Amino acid sequence: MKLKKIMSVILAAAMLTATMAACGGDGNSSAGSASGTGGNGGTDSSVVSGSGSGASADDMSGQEEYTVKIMYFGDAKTEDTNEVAAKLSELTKAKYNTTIDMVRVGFGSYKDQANLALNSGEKLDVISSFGFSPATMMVQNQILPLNDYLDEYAPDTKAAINDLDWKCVTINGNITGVPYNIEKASSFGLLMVKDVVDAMGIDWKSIKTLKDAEPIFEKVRAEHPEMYMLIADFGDIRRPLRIDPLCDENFGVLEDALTTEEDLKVVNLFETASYVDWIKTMYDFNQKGYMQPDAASSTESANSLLGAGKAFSFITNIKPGIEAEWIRNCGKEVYIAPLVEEYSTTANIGLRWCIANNSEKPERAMQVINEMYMNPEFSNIFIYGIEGKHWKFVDEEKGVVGYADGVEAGSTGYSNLAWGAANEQISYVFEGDDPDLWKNLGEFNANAPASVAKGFVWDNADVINEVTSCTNVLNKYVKALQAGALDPETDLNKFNQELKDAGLDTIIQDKQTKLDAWMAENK
Amino acid sequence: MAKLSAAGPVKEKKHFTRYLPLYLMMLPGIAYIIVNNYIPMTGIVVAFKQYNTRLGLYNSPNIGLKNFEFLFRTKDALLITRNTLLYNLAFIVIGTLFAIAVAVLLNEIKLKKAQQVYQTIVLVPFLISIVIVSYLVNAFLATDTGFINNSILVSMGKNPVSWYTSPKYWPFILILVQVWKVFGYNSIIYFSVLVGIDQGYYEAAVIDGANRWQQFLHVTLPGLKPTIVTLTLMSIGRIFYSDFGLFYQVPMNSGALMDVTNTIDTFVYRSMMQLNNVGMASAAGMYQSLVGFILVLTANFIVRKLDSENALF
Repeated sequence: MKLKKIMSVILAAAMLTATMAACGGDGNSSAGSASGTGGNGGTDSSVVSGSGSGASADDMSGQEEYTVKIMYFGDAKTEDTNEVAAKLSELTKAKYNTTIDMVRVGFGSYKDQANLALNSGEKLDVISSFGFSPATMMVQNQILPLNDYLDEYAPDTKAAINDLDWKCVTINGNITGVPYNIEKASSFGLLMVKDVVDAMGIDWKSIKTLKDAEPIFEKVRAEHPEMYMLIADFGDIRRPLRIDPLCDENFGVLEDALTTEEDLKVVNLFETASYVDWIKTMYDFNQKGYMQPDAASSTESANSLLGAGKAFSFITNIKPGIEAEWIRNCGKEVYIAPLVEEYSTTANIGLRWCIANNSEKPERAMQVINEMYMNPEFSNIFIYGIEGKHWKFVDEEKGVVGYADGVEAGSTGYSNLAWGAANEQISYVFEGDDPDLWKNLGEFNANAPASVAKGFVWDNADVINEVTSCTNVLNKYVKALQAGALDPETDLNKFNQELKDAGLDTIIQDKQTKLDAWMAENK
Repeated sequence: MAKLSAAGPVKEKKHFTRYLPLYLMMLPGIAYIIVNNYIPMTGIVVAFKQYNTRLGLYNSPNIGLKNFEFLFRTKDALLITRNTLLYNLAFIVIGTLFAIAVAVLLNEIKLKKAQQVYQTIVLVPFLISIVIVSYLVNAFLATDTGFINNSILVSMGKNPVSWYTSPKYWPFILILVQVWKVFGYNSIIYFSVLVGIDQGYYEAAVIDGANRWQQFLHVTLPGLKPTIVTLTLMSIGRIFYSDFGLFYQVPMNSGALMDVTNTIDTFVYRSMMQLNNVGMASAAGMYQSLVGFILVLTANFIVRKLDSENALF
């Protein structure tokens, strides 16, 4: 039960990062593109010695002593976290004469606590942007621009991340943080419970669009009246659309992220043909009783509904290893029929590691971030904790680890979140996942076609009042609309009219002007 | 009547030494209020600033009234102000009537044991967390499994209602829930006043030939008046605040209901959740406090005109 809960939070968190649409990019890049250097480092610990080579040219262990405090999310006991921090300090002490102090805060309160730490001036060096808009953090000076520190103190990291990604985290010329090396592309599909599909001999591969699912829903419902055919996750439903959110997925988007350079027109998402078409399908599903009732105000997670056998399908994101993730989340095997092939936009580079404004020695914080991103040994301890206490090898050769004896997800003192580290792709793989997971993820990221506007970061400062007003209109309609509870014929028009009254056109115009200027400068 | 109202502040200076121990006892409380309530009030300046962590609360650049713009640029401002005011008015009027009625009934129970049991029972809803209340409400209103749809409407041969997307029912639902939740607490306060009313008044009234209703009108109600005025004044001071849980949790944050459930608190929460803008959030808070302050002064002014004895100040 507890595992389920934790996993649902993690999933929700992962979704949040995907939609956070905090971006950066103003075209200040110097290093040549070097994608892959850090991307597929593999799990071989022999990389350790090589990783620090750039920095070890001049020995930095003679620096004066300094403690770098790291704050990030996830459940952990303080004693265990301190122990992990001590273990990490062994590495950084030898190399930089730096001690690590680490604080982990549970998901629910992470943002509040981090905000407090940033605003109160307490000791803090390295912080995860989880739940934040890095643009706002930068405007409010909660974090420092990394421009001055990257080249000198984290050259390996700088080289390991490609130019385009750096652009995505740059706002008005300021690099806000080091992007996490997690999935960097979007893809959506319809998840279906495997045992039902198999038992009924359903041809799930025939589903290419959401509409194709209708005959299947009809069949399954006849046999399983106790199941909701399509469900929401805490009231949220993914949009299976290939839009480029341009840093704000609701107000002003590119209808097709992979459109050509000549056709970069910012439009109102809620008037686009693809959105209206999708909404009509959802309304139709709801009318026919396939949707979970009260989906828009549901407080149930998709995990718990699927796990309890109350649901048949769900619109999910897709990335390598997603099926294994669902097994862990809800205990059910699933099939996922792709609805939207992978593509990438600025929004996919969301989560990042930042240096707090409170940091007394930002350069030392930068060194630690470099270590987090480049050093597999550091990364493995950071993610999995202490060997023997929190984890053990399941297959050392392939770099697969599992919980230590007598420890499980609900009882561990240091919960492992590979995606919560800077660079999961240089770490071990957890039991149950494909040993090639990180290789596949690297390929997934590399192969996803990018939007022409990727790297464009929209700063909403000029239209902040319009954004606030539109957000209020949005909250009123969007969930119910996407859950099929409102009639698109009447309510969609009302919605669009209210958005316009709230100033949507001003936002779209602002975005278009800035996008055009960016294109002229960067392409 | 005078002895029923709270003792007024002792103004005579010569009594100062006599009451010195009491003043000393007050000191920690005053210090607490100064530190926690008055010093932070200076932070109100942030409502006029572009907040910047590095520069701090007081040195951030001034931007005038820009932070207030978002509150007033759409018709939302009117809507949320209307909702907040009307709901609170309804709560005050209906809640007070209901609480007094229950208090009088409690007072009529002569069996001590039964009285205690009833007192406890009416207090229970007040003690339940609003989040739990929201699920109790959900148990009634859920579209597929809810009590009203399942057990009442369907068995009566009517179509089930999708409660969480039908705004027209919600003003009643919210008032019902709120009154149900808080009446116990207020009726206990009124009840404790009733207990203090001298039985002699009732005896005199009976001798004069007053029936129950007349006793209520001419003895009970005047006895309750100072308490009613004080509690009402205090509610009016908070009329611009809304119980966040009631307006956010109970309707399950359903967007379709927002026209009738959005109040200033939920509006600010929803707008600021995504923006995390300290200045704008403070501006909204200041607007709320300012209007609340003016309302208290006005209400107190009116009470003082009508009946100066019962005014707060």
